[in-house]
Amino acid sequence: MDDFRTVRELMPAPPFSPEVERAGRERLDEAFAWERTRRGRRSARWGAFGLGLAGAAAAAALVISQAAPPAHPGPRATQAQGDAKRFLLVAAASVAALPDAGTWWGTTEVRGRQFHDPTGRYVLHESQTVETWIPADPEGLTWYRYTPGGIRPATPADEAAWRSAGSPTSWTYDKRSPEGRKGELTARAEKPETHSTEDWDFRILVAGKPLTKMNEVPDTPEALRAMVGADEQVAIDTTVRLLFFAPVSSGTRAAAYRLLASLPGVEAAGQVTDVLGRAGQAVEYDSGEYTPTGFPGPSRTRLVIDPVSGRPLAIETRSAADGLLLTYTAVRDSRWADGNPLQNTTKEN
Amino acid sequence: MTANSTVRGIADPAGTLSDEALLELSRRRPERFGEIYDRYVREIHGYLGRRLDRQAADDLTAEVFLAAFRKRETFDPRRGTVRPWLYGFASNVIALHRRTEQRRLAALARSAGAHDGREHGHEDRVVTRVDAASVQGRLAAELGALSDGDRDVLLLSALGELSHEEVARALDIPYGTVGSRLSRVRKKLRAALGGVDPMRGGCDG
Repeated sequence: MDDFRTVRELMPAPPFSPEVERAGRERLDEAFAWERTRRGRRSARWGAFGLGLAGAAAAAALVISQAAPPAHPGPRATQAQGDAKRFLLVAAASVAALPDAGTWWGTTEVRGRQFHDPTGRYVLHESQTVETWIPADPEGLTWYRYTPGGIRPATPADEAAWRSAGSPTSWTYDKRSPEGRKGELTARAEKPETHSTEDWDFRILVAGKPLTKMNEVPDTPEALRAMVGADEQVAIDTTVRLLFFAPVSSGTRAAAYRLLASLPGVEAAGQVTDVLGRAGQAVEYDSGEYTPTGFPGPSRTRLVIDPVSGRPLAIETRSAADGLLLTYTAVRDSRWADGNPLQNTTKEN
Repeated sequence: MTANSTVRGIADPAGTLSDEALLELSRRRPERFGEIYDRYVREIHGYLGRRLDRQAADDLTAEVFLAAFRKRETFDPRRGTVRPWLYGFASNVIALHRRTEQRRLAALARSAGAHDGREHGHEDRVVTRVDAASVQGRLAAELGALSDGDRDVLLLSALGELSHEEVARALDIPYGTVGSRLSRVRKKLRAALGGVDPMRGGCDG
């Protein structure tokens, strides 16, 4: 091995400083801390996922016992429904033409919820903006930036009621409210936060099974249906998740629209304005995933779509009883790109 | 608590945990991975520093361990030990810095061959030993001309002192490929050195 020795002598090892050793150890320690919080969140999320399904089953039972909930559109002929849902096929054709080359799938969403104050006199609205960058590479890390938007009265009427209550900036719930609030809330928005983590969300939870590559997701409605399972409610929720959030091809997004158009549980709701005030066409369905955990009454989930661009705009879940916007996700922007702007905020290479 | 039947020899005779047992424990208790870092950080820093330069080694050593930590679930004790597995991550990091490596080899070739008295980085000066200079210059030039795959196999063997089996594990290539690449590369090096026995390059070691 003497030529090996010559190579070793050509390329000597540099000195190793204690500062470098310590700095590296600190970075690892941070990763350990993240790992622990991630695990905490993962088990919480799995729990919520299971409860959400149970809650949905309860909601479906309620729907049957009450015949039809008030916000439910009346029965229509299948043919009329087919026509009313035709915009989904237009959206499918539009989205199929969107470019999907790139190494990162980036979305900017506004997520929020509305809920009653502890005295039940007015409605509050909490929101946050979430920017997400998911790598096409299944081994890569997903980057998130959360920008909390704070809590404010939901409408001008709620604002008037809030003022006459003394304009409080914090609220205390002695016990869990029907909309799932408990403990103390403050109006002030917390600081934005950026972090990266493993992309367990899509690749593990989509269709309840691991997907090592998102490009293995089929791009025909029939194959997509076979993947998302026989249960219609689960199939709808999983298809919506793929359509809105996952790093899939434009072909898969088109197939998702076509699959939704073919499912009887997805009903046309006509021209609407989404939570951000954008005009679009809507469908509604009973979701297992988007009903807040433990919400006692039936709820209805609405998808707002821009058929011209093919872009999904919002997922909005309302209480069937009073129309309260229980939870929503509105997509401001989504695109494939070759870079991830969040990554530039830290040192790389 | 997480002792896996695939991990043999949980503790060595001195009573310390084996690398493989520590890695197994770190699946459930991430902080145990810190001990892997403590054991190998100097060695991995040395390997990166030899192949790239001190600055790159200072910057990238933590990346190697972070990548390994995130992928610790993929470690399979049946396929080898922790050390070559770590060298695999070091190889991935180096693959992202091929230009730094080429710059370094070019600098080594220049400084060893030219004797022009210019000031190079301190790393470069270290190798400017008069007798060995021309041999080392040619060696550096030859290393720079190798394919990335050949260079990886050679330097994991020569600098990392990994066995054929461990190199195969680190680079995730077949065992036989390691042997054939290595004999091809060593033949090339000898030819390029013009019959000069690299062992007799004049270094005192």
